[in-house]
Amino acid sequence: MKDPLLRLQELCLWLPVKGGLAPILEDVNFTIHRGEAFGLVGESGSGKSMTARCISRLLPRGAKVTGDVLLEGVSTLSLTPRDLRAVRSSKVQIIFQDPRAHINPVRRVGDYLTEVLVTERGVEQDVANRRAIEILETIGVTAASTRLAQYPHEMSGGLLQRIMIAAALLVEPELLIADEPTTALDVTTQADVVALLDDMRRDRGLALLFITHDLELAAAICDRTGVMYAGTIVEVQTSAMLHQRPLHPYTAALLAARPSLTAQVRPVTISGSPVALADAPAGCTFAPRCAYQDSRCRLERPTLREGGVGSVACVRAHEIASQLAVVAESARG
Amino acid sequence: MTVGLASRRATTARVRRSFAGGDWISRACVGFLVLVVLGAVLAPLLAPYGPNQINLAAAYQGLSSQHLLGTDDLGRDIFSRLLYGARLPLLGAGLIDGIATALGLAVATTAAWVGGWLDAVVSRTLDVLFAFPGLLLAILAVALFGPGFVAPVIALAIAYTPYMARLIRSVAIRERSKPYIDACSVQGWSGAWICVRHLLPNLLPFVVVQATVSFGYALIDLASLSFLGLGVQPPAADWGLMISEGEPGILAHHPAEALFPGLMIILTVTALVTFGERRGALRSRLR
Repeated sequence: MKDPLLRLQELCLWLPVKGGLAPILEDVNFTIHRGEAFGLVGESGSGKSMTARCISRLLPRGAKVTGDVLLEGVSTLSLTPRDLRAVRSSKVQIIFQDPRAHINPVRRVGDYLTEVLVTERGVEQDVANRRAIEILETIGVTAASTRLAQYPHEMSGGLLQRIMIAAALLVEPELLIADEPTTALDVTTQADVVALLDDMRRDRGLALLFITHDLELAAAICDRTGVMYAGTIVEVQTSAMLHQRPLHPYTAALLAARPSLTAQVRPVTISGSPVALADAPAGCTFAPRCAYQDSRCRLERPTLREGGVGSVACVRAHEIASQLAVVAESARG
Repeated sequence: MTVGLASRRATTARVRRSFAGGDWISRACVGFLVLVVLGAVLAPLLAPYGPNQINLAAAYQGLSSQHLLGTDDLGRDIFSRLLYGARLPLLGAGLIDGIATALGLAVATTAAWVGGWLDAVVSRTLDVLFAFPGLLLAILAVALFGPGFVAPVIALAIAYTPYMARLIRSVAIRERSKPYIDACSVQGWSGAWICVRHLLPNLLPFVVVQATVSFGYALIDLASLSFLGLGVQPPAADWGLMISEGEPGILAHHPAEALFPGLMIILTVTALVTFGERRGALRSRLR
């Protein structure tokens, strides 16, 4: 197999808190190939966004990182500031969750869209404007040329999210990180944006890291999906198989917790509440909430192991595989 | 093209709104300030007499059609001197304010951006500077470099910098932590570029309000120095100097020479501070 575009190797992250460092991510491993869409799902605070930020090295002051992020075989964690800027402006783009907060409110949308091209690539301003208009029209923004002269506050959230997507696509990155790009949008706009991202990926062959807490959405867009819990990846496999035959009890529990449109079953909730990595027990992070836990789960933290179709971090994975499949089956109704 | 046209129209509309949108008090303040500036700039055209045209035969005259505001002990026309006398204070206060704002912006934005030990060092240095009253610093400068226009202006500019810097730093730290700055970093721009192109424009509204108010204070401090004889020297026409030269006149029942420049200082500063504070209040309401 070819070298992947992105490889995260045993990535660990600590963030400074009062009186020390709090662990945020532990042993995050996954790869994304060119043209592939990889989904990262998990509850709030499970470390999805922090993983994305590590890739672009957008970390708060005092953060400590071990492990490695390899983009085309080059570690982004050890790049010089100049090289890091080059990578950011050409290879990796991030679409953020809340476009209104992430676009400078006092600058025109046109400036926001074309500034990278003009300043980092030396493209002429009117050429950049033309390309911005083209992209906006491709992604279904009407009256694109007048939009360029408008300010963010003159636009709706859905439109702004498109602007942000356009800005990310304009620089033609290799990897597009979409950090819950549809959370701030209503359902119809959400569908548009998702379709748009999918089109762009197919047309341009860019790799997509899609972060969401919506399992269905991840399944609809992504080839493979990783599930995160308390700063660790507990399971990675193809999106279709993830739904049919989850390997980790947490994934199965998430699937069972969804309301069904067809079946008259009450969703099964996961007891307890999600923990931060810092508060997680010594063994498996999910053990206290897990219906299948036994004494081994509390001894040491399981690592993500390759096994047939996907990888899973669970010591009992083999023993409970059939039970989990039943849970997923009944959840589908 | 259409883009340029639309944007220009939007800009003029915004400018119009920011001036006409205020209440009548703000508009009156702006109107008065415009008059003062026009009077100072056009003094050679407007003044009926030269500022230093002595006519001992016409000393201490009251208000009349020849001398609108009367004359001083040397028979100089007070109205003419009032027009000319606005030039140095306005220029000086403008310089003080401009230098202090520029220095404050540079220092505060750098401190807020880099953070860590640099921010700590800058903040403590500002604290030390706060301990010195501006006037004291100015008097020190005069003692070192002699009275005049330049020394007090530079000293006051340095004395005003901490006030600008501390305010801007607090706003800049808040803005710096906003997500759009992160989004800028991800675009691959350098810190300096993000500061100048993205952070600064978001600080300007606060800076403008603070600069308006401190312009008024600078005007008072300059006038105080002139009054104490440490600023510009006679026979120059200058409001603060006119007040001190008018002192004997007050005792001789001819208060005009001290009264009118005093009034002008009060009115100008009041107009500046009122306008500045109303702009600030408007801003915070809009937010």
